Amino acid sequence: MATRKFTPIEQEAIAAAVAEGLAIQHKFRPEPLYKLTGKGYLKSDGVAELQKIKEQSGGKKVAR
Amino acid sequence: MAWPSYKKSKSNPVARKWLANVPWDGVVAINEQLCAAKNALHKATSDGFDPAYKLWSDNYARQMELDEAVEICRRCHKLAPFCFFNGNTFAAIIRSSIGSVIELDTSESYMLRNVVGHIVAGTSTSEEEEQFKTLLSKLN
Repeated sequence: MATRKFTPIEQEAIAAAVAEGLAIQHKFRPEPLYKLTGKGYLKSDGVAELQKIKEQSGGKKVAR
Repeated sequence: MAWPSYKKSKSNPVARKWLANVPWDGVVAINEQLCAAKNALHKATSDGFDPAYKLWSDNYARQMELDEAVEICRRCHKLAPFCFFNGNTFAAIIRSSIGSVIELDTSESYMLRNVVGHIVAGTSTSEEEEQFKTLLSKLN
């Protein structure tokens, strides 16, 4: 699969997506289950992570 | 922030070029790196690559509402253009494009990214889809 050069903005977006993808990779199965079965797979992290974020933020608005 | 600036209009307040900074070759590069991280084969599928490429290339550059961007990612995931790690490739693209949304507090922003991830992964429940609509209405 040939790839072309990316603009700096594209490179940044791709790097952000790769970082995100690596962070959530443990929740996915590698094989194309969604295509094969019509149902995807995603491992749940439970409520612990949300609780942690709530504690850290104190419910403040996020600055963009 | 790598993503295009927020373009607010009266008719379509959350329309944005959500996917514009990831051309198809970028999608391929993302999957390549995710596969490399797990020593998985990075290879196009014979039946899914071309339709996913067409769907993405026909749409990624234009301004659209968030639910449409999510749907494009979900459909590309389902088409399975790659042998492995299609799910987190497309979930990561839409989750990172959302980033931090100014109209939502931290927990709502987290929920939005979570729900969107579930929709693209193909695991969302009807309750989560309702939650997505509610969060979209808050953006509006």
